Amino acid sequence: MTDLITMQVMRYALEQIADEMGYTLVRTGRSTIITEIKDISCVITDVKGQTVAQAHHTPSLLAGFEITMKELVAKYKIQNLEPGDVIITNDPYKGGQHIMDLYAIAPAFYEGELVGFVGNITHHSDLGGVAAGGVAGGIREIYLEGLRLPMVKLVKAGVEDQEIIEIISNQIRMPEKTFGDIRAQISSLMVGTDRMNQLFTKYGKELVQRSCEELLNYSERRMRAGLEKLADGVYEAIDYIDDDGVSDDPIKVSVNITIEGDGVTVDLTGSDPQAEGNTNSTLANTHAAIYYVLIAVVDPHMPPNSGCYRPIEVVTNPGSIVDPVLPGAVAARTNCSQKIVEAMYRAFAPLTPDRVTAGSHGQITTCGFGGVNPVDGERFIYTEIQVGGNGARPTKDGADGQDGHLPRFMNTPVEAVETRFPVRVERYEFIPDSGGAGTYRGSLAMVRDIRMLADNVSFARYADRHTHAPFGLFGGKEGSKGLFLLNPGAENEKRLKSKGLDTLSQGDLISLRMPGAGGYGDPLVRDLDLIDRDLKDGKISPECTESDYQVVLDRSGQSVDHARTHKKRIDG
Amino acid sequence: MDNARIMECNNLTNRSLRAAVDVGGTFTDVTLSNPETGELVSVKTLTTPNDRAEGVLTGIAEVLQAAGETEDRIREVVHGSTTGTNALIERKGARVGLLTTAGFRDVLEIGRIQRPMSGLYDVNVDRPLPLVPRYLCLEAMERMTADGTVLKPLEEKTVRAAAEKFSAEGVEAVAVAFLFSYLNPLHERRASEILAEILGDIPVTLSSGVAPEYREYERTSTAVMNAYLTPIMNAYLDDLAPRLEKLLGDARLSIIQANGGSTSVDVARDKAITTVNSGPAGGVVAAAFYGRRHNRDKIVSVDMGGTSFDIGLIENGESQVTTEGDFQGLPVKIPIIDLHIIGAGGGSIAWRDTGGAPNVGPFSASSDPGPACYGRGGDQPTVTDANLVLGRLNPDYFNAGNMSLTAEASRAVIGEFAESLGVGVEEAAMGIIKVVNANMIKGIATITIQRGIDVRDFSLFSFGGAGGIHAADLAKELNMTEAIVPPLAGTFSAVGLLVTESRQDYVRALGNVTTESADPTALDLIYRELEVEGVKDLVAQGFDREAIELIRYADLKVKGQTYELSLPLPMSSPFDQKGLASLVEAFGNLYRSRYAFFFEGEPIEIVNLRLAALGHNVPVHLPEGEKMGTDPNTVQKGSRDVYFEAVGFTDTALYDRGNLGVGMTIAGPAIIEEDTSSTLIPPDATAEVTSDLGLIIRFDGSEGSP
Repeated sequence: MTDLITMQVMRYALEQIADEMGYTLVRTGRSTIITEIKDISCVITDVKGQTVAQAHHTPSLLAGFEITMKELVAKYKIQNLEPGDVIITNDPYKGGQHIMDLYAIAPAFYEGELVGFVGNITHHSDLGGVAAGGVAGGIREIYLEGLRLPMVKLVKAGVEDQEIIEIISNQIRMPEKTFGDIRAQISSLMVGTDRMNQLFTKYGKELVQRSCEELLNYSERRMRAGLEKLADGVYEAIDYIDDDGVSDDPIKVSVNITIEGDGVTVDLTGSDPQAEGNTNSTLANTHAAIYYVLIAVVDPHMPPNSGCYRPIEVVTNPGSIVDPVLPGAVAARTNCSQKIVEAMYRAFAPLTPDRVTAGSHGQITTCGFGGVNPVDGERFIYTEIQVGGNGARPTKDGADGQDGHLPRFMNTPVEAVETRFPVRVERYEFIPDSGGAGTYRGSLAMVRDIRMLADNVSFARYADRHTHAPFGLFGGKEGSKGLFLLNPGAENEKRLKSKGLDTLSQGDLISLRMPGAGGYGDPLVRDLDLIDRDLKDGKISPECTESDYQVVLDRSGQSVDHARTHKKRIDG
Repeated sequence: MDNARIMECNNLTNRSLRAAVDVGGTFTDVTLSNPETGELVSVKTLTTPNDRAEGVLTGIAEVLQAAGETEDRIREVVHGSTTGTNALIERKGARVGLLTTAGFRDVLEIGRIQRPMSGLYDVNVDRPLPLVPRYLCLEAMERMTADGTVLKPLEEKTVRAAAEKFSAEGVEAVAVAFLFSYLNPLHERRASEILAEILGDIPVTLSSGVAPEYREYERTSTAVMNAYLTPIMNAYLDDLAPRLEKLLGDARLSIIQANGGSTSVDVARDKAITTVNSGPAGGVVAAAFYGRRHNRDKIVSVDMGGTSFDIGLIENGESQVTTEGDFQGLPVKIPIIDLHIIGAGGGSIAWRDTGGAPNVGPFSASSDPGPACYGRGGDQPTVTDANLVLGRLNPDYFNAGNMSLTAEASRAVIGEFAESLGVGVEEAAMGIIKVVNANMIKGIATITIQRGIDVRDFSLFSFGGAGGIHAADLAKELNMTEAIVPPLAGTFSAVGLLVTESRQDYVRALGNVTTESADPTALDLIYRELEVEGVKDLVAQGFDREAIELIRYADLKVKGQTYELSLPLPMSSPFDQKGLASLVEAFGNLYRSRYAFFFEGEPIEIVNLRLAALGHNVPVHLPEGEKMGTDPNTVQKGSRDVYFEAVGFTDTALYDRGNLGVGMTIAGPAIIEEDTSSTLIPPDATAEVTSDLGLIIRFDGSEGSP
């Protein structure tokens, strides 16, 4: 009992440190991707590199860090680290995510002894590569995706290594911006090591370390207890990535979940071989997706840490879409990892119908615009990330306009975008009829129209669900697909591929139409009041109401005629 | 202070009393202050939810009777209200229509997209629904660019069409929020005129009026919330003001705001949003006031009641005002006292999660059925039950003896809980206390540690019904220098209403001005414009020019970064090059202390100029203790067994707060009881009695006063 209470106190203290690190990073960062979108996370590990607490940012950091820390401890050995060191890396093949996501890690010391690590990860707007923003789809080799940094000590005992800075600066377009953001990462780490030291000073080494161990054991117990309650068996499902940006062939993501007692094995060996394009999911990213779903389905409020992962075994084939090998390109990895998430929910549907969601946005729509701002002649890189499109849930609609699953992001305010970049956002709204029909409706898709106010703007992007719609569950219908349209309605209107790299001209308008999400349950038993509400709100059209929900409208054509609808449904 | 004004006031009308009215969920507290004698008299009367003004009038009548005063002696009624807060919590605000720039009607529902923190792994957690349904979000054809110039002129017929729809739908208030209106409000103002033509008296809130700052969602959210609350606030004030006037004659009615200052009824009508959370804001102001009396300028103030735990921060003697707050999960871009409110209080229920770990709250047994010991059918273990089992509460002296507690009922529910945990009853009760303390500590950390503020240099100021029992534990756990439990701890937030200043905030956004390129003369001109406005508004509220204080602030950020820090300006008017240089230096220092790093020589941008206009009121005095004395044995009223973790049940001295002598030092273990709260002094602590019978608790081995 006493240990559990101390453990809870320590858990809050550690989470607090991780959140404070995140807060510092956001406050001192430069790119809107950090300051507005918050594509970051922070983590605290024990001396072995096991995650003991993470900030409340994107869960996709989760597992990657475990693997990164194994590499770090192997490479540097504890005795080669000292206070004020900062190690950075972005190598997707050594526990990283993709090139644009840079880890920074610092050892935490107490009374001269290394007692753990603090780390953060940040999506940068520039780490080099063939396209400004590093988010072009259809890239064939990782060497083109940007500067792949091995693990290096950027800061040695508080002193920045100027040679490393010069090497990086030579390879990227906007070094000042990137180093501004890297220094924000360093600030965050310094705050983290400082607070860790305070924590150890206050409680003593032994108590903190014992509590951390107990925290890991506690999460493991909760994961095992939750798994134990699920029926043993094998649960399978498949989802598809539209394409890899090189060919138009769909790529299969196959999950096979075996629950046995208080353990689980997730086997992805049925998935397709690695792609020629960059939709490959690195192992860290694959693990993150699996752990996310298992925590969410088994017991969403357990403290998320390495203890949760102990009962989980992951099986992959090296050289596959979920475990690529060099020189596989990986920038668009979330096209794959979110499909692992979706396939797992689908697999769990018959087992835990009360804890799954229908198909969603199923990726992170990521665009990078780069060029020169005609107003001041300065280079700019504008990274635009859109999420939203939530699958319907067992007891309610998907939340319109809310993020879900792996990312926990914010959008970038139009007023922030236009103040910084030579573009104009002309529309940002829901697309009616885009949520899959069901007893509970999938959430609506959104559209963001962006007009270029500069010439020769590179438009890099990776998106998905442009050909494979978000699936419905238990009779729910599919949500709408995504679509990128250049200059819609104009003579030169053109559909652009979901993944690619193009050059836009001044005055061009790119319409980013995101996918919606699937419905849950039979649309014919949807509460008529909810249909009425959606009709009134213009979220569904009268036509869609009649076709998808078999509803009879009254004479106004704007609301449901309950009596005639019941009769029609009974009569068939 | 403006003594001449007070004298004049007194001579003319003989009105010198000020009454603070705090309308809470259960009780309406009224405190009467006599500035001449320093006397404070408080009463509690039941809140009358269906006609809140009734409870206010009853309370005023009762407090006058208790003080032996008459209606014509009241000069001012300062009113803290939960009307706005409750309307938000219960979603009972007005039917609002929103008018946006074409293409952005969904700004409110899309918001910033991010799911709540607690929904990281829980797919069922959603953000709060918007206050305006989509069908009442309409569009106007217009557009400003990012530098505030007109790209598309306002098409007036689109505004008219929207107005007709609003009218047909019976909206009760309208918010207008166009892109970049914080740089150029022209279109919003014109739209407002057109709306008024068609909608008549229906109140219209402009985003450029209520929150002229960038980020369209946050600004729109603020404007919408103001519109949502305006009709309700106005209806309440329209009801209250004449009834008060009938009772009190021409006494002034002031309304407390979330920024910790008060304002006139007229301003409250236009900016209803500023009245939300004003009660807890009053508590923070009270803490700052008490700190100033006792030379404490770094305070964490906590108000622990039955259900919620309200945390505020005081640095440099001032309560902290933020412009990044939220009410009920919806962002508000107005200056509000930085409060963090969590679900933890005496009524918080203990439960075990699926892993077997004990948790407490946020669910509360509230007042119905209440904790098990209330004997009203509560069958779940609460914090109050745990305190009772441990001997920390007196079952026969609770709420001025108006209620008696049943210790057996507490033992029974805690006993069941203990059995499920496989521990003894006292250990389980202690566990509940430790977990709720841990939750409160995390809450305190959110508003301190998360901001890079080292809480160990602070005093904990703890009040509210349950504040005295937990104060010492919290302070010790956080390594704070001391815990302070003020006199009148149970109703101390009403004191805050009396010590508030009248406050109006003004802001002007600048476009892309760096400290290098800034023209101090031009900035000074903006400040002076804001000052003219501030003086005008406060004079209209009845303040003499001499009683008005103006404080200039500037929001600065490192160019290229997004978040600014707000700094008060050195009071060297006019603002000049030297003032600019010291501003830059102060920014660097603050930045470094917050974020560990600051790079000298980086361009710094001035984002906003702000002005706070304060109208000073008559100072409030707390009554001084009457008796001197240093030997606590002379006033000890008895003892009982109280459980402490380290030593188990221990014979613990009991005192009545009213009998303590000024300057007395009471060694723990001890419990000091009074009508509406009790204070626990643990074995390793001592309490010093201040001149006004406040208690300052320190721990053995810690250093003296800061």
